[in-house]
Amino acid sequence: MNLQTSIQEQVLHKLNSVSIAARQAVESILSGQHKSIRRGLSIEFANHRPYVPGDDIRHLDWFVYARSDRYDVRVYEEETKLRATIILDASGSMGYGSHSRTKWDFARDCAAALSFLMLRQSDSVGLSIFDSTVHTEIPAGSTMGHLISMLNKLEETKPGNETDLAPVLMQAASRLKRRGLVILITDGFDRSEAVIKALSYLRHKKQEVWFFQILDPNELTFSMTGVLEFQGLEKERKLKLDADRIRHLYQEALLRHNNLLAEGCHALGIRRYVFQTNEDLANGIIMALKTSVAQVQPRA
Amino acid sequence: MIQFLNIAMAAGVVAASIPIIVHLAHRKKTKVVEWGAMRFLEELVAKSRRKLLLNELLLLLFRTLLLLFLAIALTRPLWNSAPKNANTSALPTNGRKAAVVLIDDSASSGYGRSFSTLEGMKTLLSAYVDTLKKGDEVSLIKLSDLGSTPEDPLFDLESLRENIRTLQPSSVHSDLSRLVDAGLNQFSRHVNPSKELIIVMDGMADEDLTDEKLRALQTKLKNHQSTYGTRLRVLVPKAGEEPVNVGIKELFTDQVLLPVDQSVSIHVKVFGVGFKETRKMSVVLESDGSLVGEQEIIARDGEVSVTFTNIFKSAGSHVLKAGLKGNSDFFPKDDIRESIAEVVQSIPVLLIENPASFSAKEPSFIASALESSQHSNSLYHVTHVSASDVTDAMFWQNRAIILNDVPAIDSLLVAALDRFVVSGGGLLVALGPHTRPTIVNEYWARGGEGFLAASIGEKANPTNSLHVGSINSGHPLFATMASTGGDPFKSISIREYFKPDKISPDSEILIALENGDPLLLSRRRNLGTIMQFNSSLDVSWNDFPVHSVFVPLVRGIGEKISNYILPGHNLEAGTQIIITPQKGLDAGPTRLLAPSGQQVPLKPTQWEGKIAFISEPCLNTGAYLSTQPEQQERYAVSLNYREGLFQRGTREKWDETFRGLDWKWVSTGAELNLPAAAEDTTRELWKACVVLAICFLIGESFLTRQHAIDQQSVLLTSAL
Repeated sequence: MNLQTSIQEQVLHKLNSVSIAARQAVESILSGQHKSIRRGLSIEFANHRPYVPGDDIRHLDWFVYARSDRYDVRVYEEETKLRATIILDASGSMGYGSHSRTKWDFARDCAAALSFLMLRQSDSVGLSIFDSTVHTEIPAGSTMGHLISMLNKLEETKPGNETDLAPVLMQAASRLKRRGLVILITDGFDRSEAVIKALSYLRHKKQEVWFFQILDPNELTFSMTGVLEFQGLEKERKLKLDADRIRHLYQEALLRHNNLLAEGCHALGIRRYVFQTNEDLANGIIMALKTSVAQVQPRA
Repeated sequence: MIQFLNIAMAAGVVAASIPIIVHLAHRKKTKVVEWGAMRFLEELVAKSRRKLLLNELLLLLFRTLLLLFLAIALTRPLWNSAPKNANTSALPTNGRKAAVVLIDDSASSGYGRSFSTLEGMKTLLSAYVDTLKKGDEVSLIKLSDLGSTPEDPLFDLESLRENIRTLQPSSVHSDLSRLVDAGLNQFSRHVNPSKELIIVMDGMADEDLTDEKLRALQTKLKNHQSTYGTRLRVLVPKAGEEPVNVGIKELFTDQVLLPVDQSVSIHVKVFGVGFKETRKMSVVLESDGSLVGEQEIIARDGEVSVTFTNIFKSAGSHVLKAGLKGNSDFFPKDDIRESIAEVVQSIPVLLIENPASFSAKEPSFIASALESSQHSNSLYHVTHVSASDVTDAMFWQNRAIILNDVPAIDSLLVAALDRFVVSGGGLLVALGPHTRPTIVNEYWARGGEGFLAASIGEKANPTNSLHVGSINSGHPLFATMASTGGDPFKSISIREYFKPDKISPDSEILIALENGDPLLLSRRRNLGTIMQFNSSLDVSWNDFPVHSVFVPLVRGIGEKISNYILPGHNLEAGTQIIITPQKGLDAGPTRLLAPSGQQVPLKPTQWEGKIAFISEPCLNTGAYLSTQPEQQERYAVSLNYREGLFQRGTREKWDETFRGLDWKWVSTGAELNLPAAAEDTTRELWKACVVLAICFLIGESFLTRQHAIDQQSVLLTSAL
């Protein structure tokens, strides 16, 4: 069963069968009237600005020239559909899974499901897959062919390299010229300060950001016992530790990290939702979207 | 340059690998798990990881070095700062000494007018002990202690001085060879590097030190000196005036076994040394405490013999005690001598003769030798019978059977004869002109399965008569002839004899001809004894019967094969008593009582294939009594008379004894100021090694504690 079929059967079917209210809530977010604030060529007039060399002379407002002898260009307010970019973490740590599904599996399915939903609403979706660098980048598109190529790329990708979230986000942010939605799907296992800084840069680029953090339940509970030799998935050196003795310290460290991310996201007006890989993906997405609607107010 | 005085301990260095092995073994036990959130684990250990790693490496290093230095300390490394070509074998005398002091406390050391020679030896030895330092180790070995378990060296010089103060002359005979052997062996119990062998003696010559023994002694001492640089010091007090002594040399009877109710001669030999005039005194003889007689003698420088006669009324072992009355020398130990006389009722012997030459009226030479015509009551009760008339019932009425030149006997009788021997009977097979080798080999020898000591080959008929070449003088059979003097067998001429073909491996050659062919063989067969004489015991093939040794030999053979020859009952001080319980071990406990009445410890052993007990070395002279249920035996332990001869060894003689060795003769305390040793360039490093090991132990303890604290703080088990 390929990813397309799998997502259609397991996720979209469920999303279709959820209550009307929930679906409406989802759809209201995904298919609402997205008023672009990007100035450009459109129907509704927005403003004038002085002409600069290179501007199309067709956009010169000759009436203004006639009245004031100034070369001003007309600027319109453009009304467009949602333009989303999914940034997906494929670093080695995403390959961890204490049961049948790894974090990567979950993140990939989540990305696929969101892509489906957005295309169904005729929005355009792009995809960036990264580890220490961005190694896959698919520009936003709104056709089914575009979606299939995204799904194929998702299927091909295997997690493996080290994580370096901050520069990747900086890199992605610098490429985003227009306002839009950035959905970051990652476990967030990088320096929290660097992640927040990168997210703030995204926000600075006028992007709405949703931060979906994927964690394995065992990463939260740390349920192992005895002296173990921990081998990292991102070429870290091995550590021999007594699991029983370090459990609470580890949990404290993880909690501290997550709190920093949560506080940072809140301050930046970023929607953050934590998924556990053992939960149902469809329900998780619905809950995440509902929570986003209810709690997060985009900052002005 | 580093030497190791105890290199065998170098194996302990392997122990240094234990911490590493434990560490590696410990590493293998952990389970590996893959983990995604390594960032948070690394954060936990990042701060202390380097410190813990360093701690663990240091701990491993300290533990390894701790064991390594302990192992090196055990090897006792010796640092010699002298140039490489210096004489490193000369160990310093002012280092830690390993001294083995050998004390010749033989009986002669007890001689003395106002104080004994031993007192002089003790004074000299004490002066030597004064030269020792704290930490030196000393072993004190007395001649009288040889045979007992060696003791460990002493470090406590006060205990050593006390041991020297309590030294007393013993009754044992000088034996320098054994004493030095024990001393050299004792060095293995010492650990100090500077070895010294101190021989303290009275300077009397050791007459038992034969050339062969002397060469062996010199070789051992040379080897020890060249290997360990052992210093040899001979401490002999200055000789006083020449000793004057009269003592009893021997107390003996003509026969080992004496008959009951028959007059027997008892001889006492008295010797004198160190005086020219004559001395009047008397010899008193007692038997079992009853006076036998007293005879006056004129003692002089030389020997005087007196003979007593006595009639023993009962069979058994009787104690004869001879003493000198009126002797006033300074060595009373040899004025009394005891001896055991073994008295038996009679020994029944069956003499089977060749039918052709058998004559009831004319006894053979063997019969004549056994049934001495001198006495009306002979010790042996001999039954003559022709081989054609013998029956197996006759066998069991006798203790011994003699086949004298018998050509053949019935096969049933051969089987019965074998059974007789196996169950404890004695058999003497004398060959002769009528012997038929095929029958002898087929039925009597049976390829080693029969009772003969050897199968026989062709008859030897040398052109010139052969003489006796050698006898096994250590065999008890010849002890009866010890007083005969000279070599009584040399003049015997053997004209014809049977060459033995295959000698049974358990056989013993007692007399051999000058060409090496065995003449008399002995073999034990279960409980019985067989003797085989390969020539005739009459004049047909040799002139043996006309020699004086014939009668004692034949009687000795009779006693031997009749199982009447028992372990020696007349012993020298320092030897061990062997007791053979006649009724076996089940009859009850066997005890041995010393002359003082004290019980002497016994250990089980074997003697001539029989179950026996052996005592510790008997140091006290006098009569010992062994008791078993319904059986009592007596043993006499006496001084070796040569101890009373006081033959002082000359300086030349001692030079000859220790020739080629680095040794020093010391006769005064002043001479003990040993020549200044070369500057001590050696240092023992074991102390430094131990100190280092202790430092590492302390460091290890500190690091372990620190490591535990660090581990507690990060809850990390291992950083490696």
